[in-house]
Amino acid sequence: MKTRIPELRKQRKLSQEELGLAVGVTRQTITSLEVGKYTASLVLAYKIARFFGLSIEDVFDFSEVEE
Amino acid sequence: MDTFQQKVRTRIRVLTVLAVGVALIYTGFMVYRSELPILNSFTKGFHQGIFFGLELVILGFLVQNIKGSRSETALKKMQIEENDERFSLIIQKTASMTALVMFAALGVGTVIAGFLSAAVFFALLGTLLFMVILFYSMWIYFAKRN
Repeated sequence: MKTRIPELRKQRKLSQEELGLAVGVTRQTITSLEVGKYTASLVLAYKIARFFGLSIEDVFDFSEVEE
Repeated sequence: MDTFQQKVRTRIRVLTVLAVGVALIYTGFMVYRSELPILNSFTKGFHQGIFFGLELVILGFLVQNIKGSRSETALKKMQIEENDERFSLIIQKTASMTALVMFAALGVGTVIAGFLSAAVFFALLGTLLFMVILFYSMWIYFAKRN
């Protein structure tokens, strides 16, 4: 799944470690999310979106998710 | 965070008791060695390895938890590492794949052992049955919980 996490993180000059600390996951999880290897749970997606002050759909691209 | 701090403190106490307990059991075996059956050197070495290995694992966890409880930052880092959802998923996938491979290997091993030795065959069959019962008990337990 594609995400806007790298873009949003860079806009706010945040490291992966700092974002991970803020939402309660490790740096490795943020890396996996950014490269699309891992799909976040609903709770984590919500936490990340809320951290950036956006909605889940604004951060995560669901267009490639199969119905 | 307070709940996790409490959890770590309890864990440190339990690990300390376990470390002392394992050391005492081993010392007890050493003291009353003459009253125990005479074992071959391989079995003796295996027993020693199990005790020392267990003691090292317990001490490793103890040191990790003590380090984590020393500062707020270390505690937070430890909490994140333990509760990371990707890490939990990796553990779950690893455990289920390992169980699947073990079932298959035990099944094949049991069939082969049937042609070679009755003792090995029944030992493997018992292990396989125990694992199947354990697997379905866990399945029912987690299905009811979730």
